[in-house]
Amino acid sequence: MQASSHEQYIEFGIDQEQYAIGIQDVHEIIKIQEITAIPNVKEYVKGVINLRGRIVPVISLRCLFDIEEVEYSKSSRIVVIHHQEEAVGIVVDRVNKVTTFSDIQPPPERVGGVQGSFFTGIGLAESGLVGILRLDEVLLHE
Amino acid sequence: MLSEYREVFLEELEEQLQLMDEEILKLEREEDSSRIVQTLFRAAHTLKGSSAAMGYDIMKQLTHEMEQLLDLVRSGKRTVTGALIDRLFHALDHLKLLKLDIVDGGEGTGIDISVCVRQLQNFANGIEEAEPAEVQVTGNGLEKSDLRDKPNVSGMLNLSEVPDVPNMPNVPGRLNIPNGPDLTGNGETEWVKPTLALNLRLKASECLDQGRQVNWVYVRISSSCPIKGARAYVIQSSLGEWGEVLYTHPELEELEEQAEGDTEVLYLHAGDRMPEELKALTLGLMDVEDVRVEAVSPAEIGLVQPSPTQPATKAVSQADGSGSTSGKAKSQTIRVSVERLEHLMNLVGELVIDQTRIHQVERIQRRRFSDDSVEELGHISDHLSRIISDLQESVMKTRMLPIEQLFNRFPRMIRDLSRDLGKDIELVIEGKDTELDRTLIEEIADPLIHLIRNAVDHGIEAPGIREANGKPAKGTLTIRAAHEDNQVVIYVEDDGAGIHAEKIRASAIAKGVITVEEASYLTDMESVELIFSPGFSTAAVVSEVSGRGVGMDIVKSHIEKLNGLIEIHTAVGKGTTFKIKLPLTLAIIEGLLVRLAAQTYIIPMSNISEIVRVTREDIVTVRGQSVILLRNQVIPVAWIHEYLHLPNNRAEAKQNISLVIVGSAEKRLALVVDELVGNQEIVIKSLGSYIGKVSGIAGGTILGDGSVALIMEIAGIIARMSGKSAS
Repeated sequence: MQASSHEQYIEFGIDQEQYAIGIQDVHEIIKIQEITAIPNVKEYVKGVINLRGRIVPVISLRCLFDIEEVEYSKSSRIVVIHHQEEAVGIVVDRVNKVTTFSDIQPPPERVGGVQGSFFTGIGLAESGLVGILRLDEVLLHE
Repeated sequence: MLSEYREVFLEELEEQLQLMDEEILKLEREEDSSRIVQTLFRAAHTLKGSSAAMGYDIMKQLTHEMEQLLDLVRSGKRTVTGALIDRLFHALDHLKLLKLDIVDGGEGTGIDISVCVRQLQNFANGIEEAEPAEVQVTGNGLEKSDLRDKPNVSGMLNLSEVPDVPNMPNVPGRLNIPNGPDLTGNGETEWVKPTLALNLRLKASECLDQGRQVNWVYVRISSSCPIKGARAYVIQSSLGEWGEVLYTHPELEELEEQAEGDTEVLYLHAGDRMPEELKALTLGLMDVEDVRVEAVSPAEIGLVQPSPTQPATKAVSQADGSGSTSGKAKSQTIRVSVERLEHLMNLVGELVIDQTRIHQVERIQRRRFSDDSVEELGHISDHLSRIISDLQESVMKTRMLPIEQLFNRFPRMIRDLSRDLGKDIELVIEGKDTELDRTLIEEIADPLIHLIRNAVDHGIEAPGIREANGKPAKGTLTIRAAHEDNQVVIYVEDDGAGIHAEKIRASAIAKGVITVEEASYLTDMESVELIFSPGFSTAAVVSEVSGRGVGMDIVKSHIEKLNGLIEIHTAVGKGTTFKIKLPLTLAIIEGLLVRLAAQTYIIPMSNISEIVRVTREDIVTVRGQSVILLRNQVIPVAWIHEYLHLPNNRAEAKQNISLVIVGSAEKRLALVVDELVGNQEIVIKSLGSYIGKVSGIAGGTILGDGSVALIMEIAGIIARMSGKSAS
């Protein structure tokens, strides 16, 4: 993985860890709103929300990463991303900032208890290591 | 007239003519000629095919000649020369004239193409001759100078020359009036009657069908009358008292401005008075100087129109008028891509949602304070909802097509089927002007065709058997569509053998659809419903006609997918009727809002047969399955919470339980819901491809409070629950 200092990322946190998504993939960030659960779907699909008249599915990274679910807090957000021409929301505990990375390392096999294939790389930031999400893998995880 | 086909044909014709125009022009500029000739050949071929299918023989003949010639050019036997291009243009102009004739309601027979055809043939045969006579194409209309000198000039209005046009089946004959008087032969009337627009012609012919008189009333208003415009109105209202004024020429609004000298007005009047009587009455009115009454000729409202191509003086005097008339006729319909309509429908959907939300906000505000502004909000909200529902209806209507489109396929199908099967069948089609959403028409085609095939194959008996049973040898199959309380109902009805419940039971047991024990519990009606079970086919021998791998279960599930219902009524020896109920549209449905474990779910109204409240004791367990006895019918009870993985404890269920009974007949299911909220119009939205197909969920919608509610897919739930509800 090549180092890159130009690309911008949205950095957010789940539990104690920091993660990031390329800013070009992010559509918007909204506050938590009522999520309608859908029966008989994958566990990490929390349900759907109404995004200005559009029905948008929402997934939980906590669930996907096997971290215990917690009540949504004041800082909880839904990061709405573009994925294959569709909007998908990702629930995160907090959104930190827009950031760039001075160096990006290839992901190890496991990143803090989470399988490495979820990440395209590990970004080095002042605050520490940030897992950069591989959206295809995260969203389409079986 | 096969109006649907005619529109489609005209659209195609317009496109192909335009294409030819462009291509011949390109050919003239000597661009890559082989490709152009190929394109032209294809266009001519297409038109030949479609005009033949529509029964426009003259056009077929002409396009055939063009095709022949172009084929020779294509294969290099003739070269592209100026003369060829002239002839092609010449032929194209004739095609345009034929088109105008058809647009004006004619049968495309009013144009003489013999010269043109001969020229094409001569060229094809290598015979050189003088340049083809000039055809001038002017801005509005076409003036054909070359035809003027030919003996057949008046032939375009000469109805006796109309060849026998092979009619497609089911063409109502009333607009085909083959022997109308020759308009041009009507020497004594000098006044020019305006060309009637299509809707007027239909109206007039309708009046004639009702046995009323339709007359042109020509009125000259005295030049001394100071208020001619007003007088014309008075005359019109007087005429209105003696019948109905369908049309005036010129329009009375225009009249007031040009009131100089004598004013002449033409009224098209429909009523019960005879022409003489009408004339006398009209003459009795004030300021009327002269009146002439003449019965409208069938030619004017039917077969042949005075087209802009008519020769000599009339063509000149009418050039502007008729040009704009055909322009008007064209602009009455426009082609809109389905995509745009979909988009429009989506926008209306958004409005419906927002309106529900505004309404909700208004209710909340009203509870908190009641002042003028809340009152005002209420009014606005009410008004808005009226407008939105009008808008919704209008948009929905734009998507509606008469079911004729589909029904017109059946006569041919029945003909072929009955011939193949050696049966004699009369097809009766009713209500083919019933309109429904275009997507529904597409979707319902397959199930309907299957039902019809079944009726012909298994329903109606062979003539011999019918006679032996004291029935007429000819079987009758009735296909009927109608609107019934905001739904479309389609009946497929045969007077055949009916369905023997006993046979069905035996067959179902043999095929392992049900066990012998289960069969013994079934009523006859329930047994008949077994034909909708998967893996069931009543034909002892799978015939070529109905045994095509699609069972009645597919028909049923297909209809249910459209939020529809199918019912079956049968009487042994008398016949079978299938009744299909469909919603008018797919995008917006009426839904029942229910609460399940604090979540709101929606059950499409079309799936609901009734709602009952029962006590816990009413739900009993029979053979390990919760059921309820309703009017002597046993209906399985589904604890839908479990299917949807919602928290629910049966033991804690309330004493009174609301049951929503969904499905029909044998596949009924009583859904236990926690609370009934109410019904409202909802816009179905897909959950998106990311979530994909969810079992038991048809989609989502946005409620008044902005939250998302899921819509149950009842057919899927019934299919799954009927096996599982025992646990």
